[in-house]
Amino acid sequence: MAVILLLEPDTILGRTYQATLTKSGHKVSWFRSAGAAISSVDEQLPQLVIVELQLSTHNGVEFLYEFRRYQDLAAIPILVLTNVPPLFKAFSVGIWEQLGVVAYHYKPLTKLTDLTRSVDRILAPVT
Amino acid sequence: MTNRRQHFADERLLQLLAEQIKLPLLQIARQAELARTTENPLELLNTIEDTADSSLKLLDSYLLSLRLARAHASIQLEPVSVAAVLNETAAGLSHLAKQYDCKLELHLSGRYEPIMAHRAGLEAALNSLGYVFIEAQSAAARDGRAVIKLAAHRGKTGIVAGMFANMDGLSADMFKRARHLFGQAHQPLTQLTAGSGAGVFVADSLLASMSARLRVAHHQKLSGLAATFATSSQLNLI
Amino acid sequence: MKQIVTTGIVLSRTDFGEADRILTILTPDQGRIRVIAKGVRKIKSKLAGGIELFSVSQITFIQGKSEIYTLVSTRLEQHFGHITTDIERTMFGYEVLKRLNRSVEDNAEREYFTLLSHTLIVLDQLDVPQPAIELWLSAQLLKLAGHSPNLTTDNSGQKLSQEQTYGFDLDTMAFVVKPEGSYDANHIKLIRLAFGLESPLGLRQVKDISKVLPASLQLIKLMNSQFIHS
Repeated sequence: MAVILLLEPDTILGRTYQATLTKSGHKVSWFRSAGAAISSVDEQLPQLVIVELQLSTHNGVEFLYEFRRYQDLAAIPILVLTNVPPLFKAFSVGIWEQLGVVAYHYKPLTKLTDLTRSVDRILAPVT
Repeated sequence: MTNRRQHFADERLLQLLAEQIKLPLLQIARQAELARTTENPLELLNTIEDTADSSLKLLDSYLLSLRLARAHASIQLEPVSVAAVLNETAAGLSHLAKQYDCKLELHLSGRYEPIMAHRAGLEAALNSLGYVFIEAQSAAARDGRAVIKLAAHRGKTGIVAGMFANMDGLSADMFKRARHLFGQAHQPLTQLTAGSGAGVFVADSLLASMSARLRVAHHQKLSGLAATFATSSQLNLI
Repeated sequence: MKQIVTTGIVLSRTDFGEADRILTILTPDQGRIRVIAKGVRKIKSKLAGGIELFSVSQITFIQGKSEIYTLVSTRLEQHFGHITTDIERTMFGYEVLKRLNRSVEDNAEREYFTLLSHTLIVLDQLDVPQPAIELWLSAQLLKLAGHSPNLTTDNSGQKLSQEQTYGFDLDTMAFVVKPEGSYDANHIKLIRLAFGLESPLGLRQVKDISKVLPASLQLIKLMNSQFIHS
């Protein structure tokens, strides 16, 4: 069982993703805003962060840069699950790696089974 | 507006709308997927139905805005009870608000004479605004539920009616920029809502066709979007 | 201990100890400085309060014996809040700050501060394409470092022609006549503008910029990677 931090602004989608990942056996802390998500890591360190880039107020990119400022969070992998199309990802290939993004999923084309498969792959112990 | 500018504006609104409709379709698809593996999927099915209904309303509002824009010069305004319209809007949005853990409140202090408006257009405009406000407030809510107020009050030149919430960052300047950057890049409105905010521009278009201008307004320390309507010179509705 | 008041743009923030934060700030008159802001992290939300990124602030600090000065107060003068309404611009904005932080020395001249504030001002306006801003910034960094390319003659000393196509030689930093080369008169015109303009705003006027921007930007980035340590 892993602790997953989910940053998703939409209530309905957030509920759906949380329910799916909880069914897969994970403990999911779901936040709608970047500020709340960042503060939460003081209480509990996640093993994986799932983040939407299009947030209100602070956007997901701000969250990623802020998150990566902290030494103790440096090794936590990040999965981007977003409405921002992959064209954007192409613009900044090296930067995503620097930000520790290990997977980029475009929401309209990502089923729940795709998400759980990706999460399992990221969290699988290295042998 | 010149033909070319109008075409550009139409294209931009369509683009924003397409972006906005992606969200409910995504919600429906993922919830349907989850429902397949859920023992009692009734709650999920209810959400799917509410989501589909509110998206249909938004699309309908957009289509109405096109019809009204074309008929602008010949639109017949009629005396409309602002209280009745706000009541009906709140009732129509109640299911969506519940899905998003949002509380809708009506604020109508006293009685108001009828306003001159296109009833269907006004309902559609408030509904479209409601869509954006519910999504935005739900995303921004810190502790407890988000609250949205459908309200009217007397302004200097008529009755001000609209939607209000605790929206940090909503200002006249920001809305001016949103109109100027309509459809371009990411709107300044993304300070408020993670979505495209298409509902704001649909409402804007609907209200413009009845010569009412959507603007940033304030109601009891809350900020929001509203329009001012002239009152009817006829007798009050009994 | 001397108290100094100046203007600054925060390049980076690092947490220090339990409640403090160290800020690296670029100023017009003090160059790049590091200040410690005591107690700012006691605020619960780490993204709220403190000194905003993408802002110009008036800062007051005490210059002590150590290399890290102590921040006394700040006053926000200009916040470029529209940058973060666009995801691509947000990322570019962060990379600009990182790039400036790596490119400048502590005794950076005033021109670096001017360069950064012009970049943020235009980035905030949302109507100049972000790659155009990147082109201008990269050209200006090369210029400030003393590595401008030859934009007048080719590598054999011939005046650059409207009709020719060219390749580019990084060793001589000059264009080389090349049949079906990657660069033509339009690319060279755009690159001249990038080096010559005081602000990237001027690039807004360039007709059909999207046709020549990608190759021009790629070339300038190549020059940067060769000559600027960043």
